Amino acid sequence: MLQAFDVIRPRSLADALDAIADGNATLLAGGTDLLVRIKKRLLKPQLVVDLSALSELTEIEDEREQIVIGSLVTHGQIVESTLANRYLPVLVQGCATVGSPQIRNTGTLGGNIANASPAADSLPPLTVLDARVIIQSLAGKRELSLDAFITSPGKTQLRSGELITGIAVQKMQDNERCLYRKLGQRKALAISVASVAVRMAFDPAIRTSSASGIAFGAVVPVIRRVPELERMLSQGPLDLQAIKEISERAGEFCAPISDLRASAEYRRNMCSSLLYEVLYDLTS
Amino acid sequence: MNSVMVDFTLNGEPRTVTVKPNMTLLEVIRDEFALTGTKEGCGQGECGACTVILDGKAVDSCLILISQVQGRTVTTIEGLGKDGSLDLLQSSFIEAGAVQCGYCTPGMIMSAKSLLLKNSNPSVDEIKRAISGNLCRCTGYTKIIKAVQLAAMNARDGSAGGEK
Ligand SMILES: Cc1cc2nc3c(=O)[nH]c(=O)nc-3n(C[C@H](O)[C@H](O)[C@H](O)COP(=O)(O)OP(=O)(O)OC[C@H]3O[C@@H](n4cnc5c(N)ncnc54)[C@H](O)[C@@H]3O)c2cc1C
Ligand code: FES
Ligand code: FES
Repeated sequence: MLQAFDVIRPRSLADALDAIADGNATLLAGGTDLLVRIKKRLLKPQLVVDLSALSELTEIEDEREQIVIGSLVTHGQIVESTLANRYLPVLVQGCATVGSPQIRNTGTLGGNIANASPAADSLPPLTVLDARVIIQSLAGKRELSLDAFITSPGKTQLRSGELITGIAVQKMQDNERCLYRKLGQRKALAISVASVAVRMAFDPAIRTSSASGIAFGAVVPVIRRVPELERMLSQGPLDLQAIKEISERAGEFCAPISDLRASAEYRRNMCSSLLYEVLYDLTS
Repeated sequence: MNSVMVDFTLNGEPRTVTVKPNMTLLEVIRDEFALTGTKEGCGQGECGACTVILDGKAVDSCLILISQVQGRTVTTIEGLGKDGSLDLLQSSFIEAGAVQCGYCTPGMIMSAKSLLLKNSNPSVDEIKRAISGNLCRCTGYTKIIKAVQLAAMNARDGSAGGEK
């Protein structure tokens, strides 16, 4: 049995913004993080605002150069979306590794971002895609880069009275390739031990990448792009030797912790291995 | 704590419940409707024993607050069979010997059902992926996968023969 709390379920975004305006409410999207935290008594909300009626936040929209994903879109919806598969395949790969089919059918992209876990599987892909977080409150709308939005593990720039309405992402170009790879302790229902997302504009004729993005997950307090490694990717042909040299340096840009799932040293080594695998696959 | 009133469709019937808002869908199914086929294992999304189908998709009912199902359609294991006869998945689980203690079985069947709803001829990999959120401590999964294949085959034979 969950501890006692009240629930309101606003019918529109305007009503929801009203309901959370005084800052005393706890937002519920899919509930896969929130209900677990309440069950474990890590959180004791008085009032839960259930967002499930806000169908306006459940769409994936094509807006010329960008795709806007409503905050209540589930991981499962992203995996099945034609738009996401066509323009944001690296995000599809990330969402496909979340939990289990049941968790993906309930958990939302907005919840994954708001939760700001260093191990969240949508975050490395969204980071290499330079995603922006769209936030709304009664005072109006604002947009922040994902980088600026997440400040430390579990902490974001979200102010009281605000909610995330969507995530805006530039479409990937046809000459770009990308991969997300995650190491967990098993195939399903495994929180990430280490992961990496790589995106690059690769010219196979000269085996060279002109622009790229690299971000590691679960090995840094806040997931950010790694410009030092990205620059190395553009410094000449990506032959096996270059890939080896670049991936060997991955550990320098990680600050992993040791926990139940893995030691810091193992995580550092796995970052190198994951990056090697991903660069190898992307360039062959 | 104020009560909430929630309307939803449960196993084909429109239902209204007025319950405490901190109840999960799992608790409502079991305690308000006495449909005890749906099991609670971990209570945290890890085992899938509580799997039901919500608007065509498998979900863990232990992690869904009752207000979240307002206006939606829920199917539990009790909603699969029709007129006293078993669903093909249920009979193929029996035929393939895919049930030992049985605790995982309702959840397993609901995950398999959600797969067969969109894919009438799944590969072994697709079956494995569909039941990857369901733990079984007894069978070793092999017979469960066989049972799902058998149900898919029987459903295709049935529809090809024009009987179903
Ligand atoms: C068994 C299990 C396995 C899991 N495996 C993975 C995994 O492999 N990878 C992974 O990344 N995650 C995993 N998760 C975590 C979780 O499922 C995801 O983070 C999911 O995306 C959370 O979304 P939600 O809609 O369920 O969030 P909720 O639980 O509804 O909310 C999470 C937090 O975000 C806030 N919030 C939600 N929506 C908004 C919004 N629109 N605006 C502002 N704040 C908001 C809530 O107040 C709450 O604090 C797992 C969880 C479980 C229970
Ligand atoms: S009881 Fe719901 S997943 Fe285990
Ligand atoms: S039959 Fe016992 S848990 Fe699956």
